[in-house]
Amino acid sequence: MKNRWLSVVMGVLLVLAFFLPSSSLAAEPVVIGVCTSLGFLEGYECKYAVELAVEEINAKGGVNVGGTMRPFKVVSSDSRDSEPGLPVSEALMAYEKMLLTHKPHAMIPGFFTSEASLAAMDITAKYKIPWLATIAMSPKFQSKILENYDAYKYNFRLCYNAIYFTKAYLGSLKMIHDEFGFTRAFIINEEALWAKAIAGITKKWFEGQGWTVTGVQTYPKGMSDFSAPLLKMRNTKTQVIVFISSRPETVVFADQWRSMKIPALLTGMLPPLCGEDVWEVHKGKVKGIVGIVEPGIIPVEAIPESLKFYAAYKKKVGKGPGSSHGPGPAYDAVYILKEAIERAGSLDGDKLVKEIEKTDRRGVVGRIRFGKDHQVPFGTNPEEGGLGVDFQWQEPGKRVIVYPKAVAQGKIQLPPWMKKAK
Amino acid sequence: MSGMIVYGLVNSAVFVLMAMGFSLTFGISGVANFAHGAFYVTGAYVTWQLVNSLGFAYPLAIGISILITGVFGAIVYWIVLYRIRGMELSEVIATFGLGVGMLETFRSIGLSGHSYKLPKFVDGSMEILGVYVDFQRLIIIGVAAALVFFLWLFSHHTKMGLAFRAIAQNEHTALTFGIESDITAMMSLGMGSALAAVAASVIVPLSLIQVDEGKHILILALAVGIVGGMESVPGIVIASLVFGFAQIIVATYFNPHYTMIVMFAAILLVLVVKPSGLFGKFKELEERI
Repeated sequence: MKNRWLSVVMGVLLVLAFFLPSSSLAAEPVVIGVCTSLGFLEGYECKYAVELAVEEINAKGGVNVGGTMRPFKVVSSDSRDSEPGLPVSEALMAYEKMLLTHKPHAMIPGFFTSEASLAAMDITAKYKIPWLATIAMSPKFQSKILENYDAYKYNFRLCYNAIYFTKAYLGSLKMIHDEFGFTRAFIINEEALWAKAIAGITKKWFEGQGWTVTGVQTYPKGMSDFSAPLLKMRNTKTQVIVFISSRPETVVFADQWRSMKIPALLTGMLPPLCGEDVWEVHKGKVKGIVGIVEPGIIPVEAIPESLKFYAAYKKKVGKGPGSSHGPGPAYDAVYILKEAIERAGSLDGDKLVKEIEKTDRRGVVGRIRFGKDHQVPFGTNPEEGGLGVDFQWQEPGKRVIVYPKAVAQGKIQLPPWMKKAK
Repeated sequence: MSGMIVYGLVNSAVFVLMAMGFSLTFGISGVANFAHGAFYVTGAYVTWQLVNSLGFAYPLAIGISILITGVFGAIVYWIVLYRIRGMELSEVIATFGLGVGMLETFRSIGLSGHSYKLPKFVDGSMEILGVYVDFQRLIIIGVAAALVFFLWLFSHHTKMGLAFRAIAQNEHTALTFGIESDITAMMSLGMGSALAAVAASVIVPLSLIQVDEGKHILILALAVGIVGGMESVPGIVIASLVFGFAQIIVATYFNPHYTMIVMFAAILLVLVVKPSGLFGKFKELEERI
């Protein structure tokens, strides 16, 4: 009896030994490199989103590479490029070190700053590795691809860029003008390429629409007192503030705006104030702030994938994502990569680029298709492209979507110390 | 204009608080503490942990945090500075390195993000000269004024304060008067570190606990000390007023980026014209000896 039991065990082991090498668990993994500012909100949330997609895919057997099921593996490294004073060269060193050490087959979500992203495009060209960016927003990323496709074709961007972002919130500014009669705006942005690009586009738009731009100011990283620009806003009778930053100073600015009771609606890109826990952390003091985010940060009923992603992310991390953009596209990027690998049947960079270019899928932010410039277009219809949504913090601690109208849940309310202009 | 006066005064008080502990340690008793900014971040982080992880009442957490940071400063003296005491350059390098190490440790354990925020002591704001100022900023002015008075009283009218000044002027002579220089230096570093935690407790509720703030605080404290005179309490106050108002004037009429340029220009000018600072006497005393 004992011998019989032993031979059964031996038999099972032999069968396993025979089959395991071809199973996804034993196969060599397909490596995804996450080299970004892991100490910052967008950075670590994108990493979680990539891990989430990888866990889901691996649970279903992995990715089929030319007939062999292989698991995804995530390797990460902190590029620290968002830290004040850190030279771009340091971030590039971290990137190249990752390429040489871990030999990733693709990179997601890329650097935090556009400065580092643009500089890294040459390294990506050298190693011919697909790079699916979901954080940095400078439009120069696309113009470089159009100017020298052969060198820069490995770069793709799934999040909105500065132009699409601006278009998304300019619609809500028009709505604010129509609703409240406001015509005076002040633009304040962080010291970064993408933010300056948005500030420039916004200023032109305001002037074209007959608004008065009461000021445009770039603030240095790490600024901890905004009384001077806020006093300027008050003295110039500003009615709408457009604050463009992805940095923690946003919290300082918003707090000072509230305590100084500046009679102007605070709008813009305010990532540290977008997460579901912000109302509780700041004890409701974010009331009235209007921010813009990608679906997935806030679940949007019209995009079922955003609901699914939000729930899965919350289950994994314990709370929903709080960046203004990045995590949803980072999650989709893994699936896009999987589909491209399976269509190509290979991990060759050039073959993958060709397949990624053919992408057409329903993602967390809407429909994902790449243009010739390797950018996913954004607009107001999730059936046509990505979607940017404007929300306002309203009682009782809810992020109410106010724009675009197709997905809006409510209307903008002015802070208690403000009045309509008409 | 009224807004600039009010917020210029607030900014000046913030400068005073940032520089106070550094002035006490490096200026008054001559013990280098280039980890001052790191102690500032430590104070804020300990308070945050006590409140959020251990559920301490906020005022109690602040008190314990000030105590812990002070004791930590004293320990640092015995571990880092005791053996290199008197070798000024080594003291500077050792404490600067320690500060960088502390800040990078905070970064590596994940001190980043909007949730690292301390609540304001009193919420709300009031109108002064036509502009709204939050109560926390008024508290900062009050605390800064109280600490200036305390520091002056301490350094001029208490035995320990006089001992602090004595070891800075001439350690060997101080020893002949029965002043135990190591104990005094240790107390100085401990008190300076505790003052950094006091500053953090009142300033951080206006913003977030950020690792990079540690470097920023050190630069500002150095700037105030150099311009005002490291060992001079009135000098610290005057330099803080100069920087506080310069900051808001430059940010209002020019660009916030220029505030640091103005600060470094002031440092250069003072170093060339009056190396001891506007109210300092060290250089003159050395030359006289």
